[in-house]
Amino acid sequence: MPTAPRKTRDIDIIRRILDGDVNAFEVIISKYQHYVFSIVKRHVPAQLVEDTAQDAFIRIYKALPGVDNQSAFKHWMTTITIRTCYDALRKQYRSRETPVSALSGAGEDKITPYEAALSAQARAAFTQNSDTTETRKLLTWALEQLHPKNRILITLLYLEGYSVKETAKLLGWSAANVKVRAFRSRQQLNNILTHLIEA
Amino acid sequence: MKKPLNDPILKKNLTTAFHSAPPVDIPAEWHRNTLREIRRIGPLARGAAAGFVFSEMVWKAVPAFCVLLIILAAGMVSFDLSFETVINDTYLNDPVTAIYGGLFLG
Repeated sequence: MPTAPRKTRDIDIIRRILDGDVNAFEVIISKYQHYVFSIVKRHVPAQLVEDTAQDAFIRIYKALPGVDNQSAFKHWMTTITIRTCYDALRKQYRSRETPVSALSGAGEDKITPYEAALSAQARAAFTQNSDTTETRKLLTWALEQLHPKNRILITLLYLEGYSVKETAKLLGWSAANVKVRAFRSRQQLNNILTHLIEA
Repeated sequence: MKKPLNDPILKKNLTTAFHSAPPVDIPAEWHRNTLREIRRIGPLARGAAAGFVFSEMVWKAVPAFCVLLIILAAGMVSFDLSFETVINDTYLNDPVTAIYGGLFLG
């Protein structure tokens, strides 16, 4: 990928796109694709990452005329990406087509996370932090058991460290809604994890 | 036993594991497909750029607007006070002229 576009200001690229230069959006994609992928891979199962990232960029493109504060372009893009992830999770939750084995990601072993969760080794990894990969598998599996709304909240609030206000803004919900749902989500995830540890 | 999310060590383990996901390789194919989809959508609606430029100008003019607003507010306050003072003085000093003047002269 060319490195020159990085020096171009986002505002100039956006202006070109809005003037009808569709190809100028390639600069935005090249510049932010790693950033968008880094968000998406944390929120959706591995097999949905590419499609969700693409969907996010399409939404960003369509929403460009609505950018009202160019200095916060990256933050605006983050909001769209998070909401795209949430929609992808909802769609997946409704269809329930994702095999559990696919959640551990490409190139990993064929043991399902649930099977891994039941192994003593995994439980030890989970509680002693001896194996991050095993812990991640368990966490991914546990998150998969949650409703998409609860899952995205847990991820943003407890794992990514956003505040209630920031989370509410990112998801377009009220702060009160975030607080109430966060409490329930936390309880639900606690129960799932406790069950896994004690299994 | 503490609940997992209430246990600082477990919570730290979970957070570390969450952030330890391996980097995703972005295939060149993905880049091409995304751009193809964008091209399929085509140029954004006419007038989008005008709106964008307008909003850009608005943001640039915000400090000037604020200063202007403060000056206007200060002016209004001082004008209102002096206006009230003039009316009060008129009514107190010559109520007949003030009332008839208000009624017939507008």
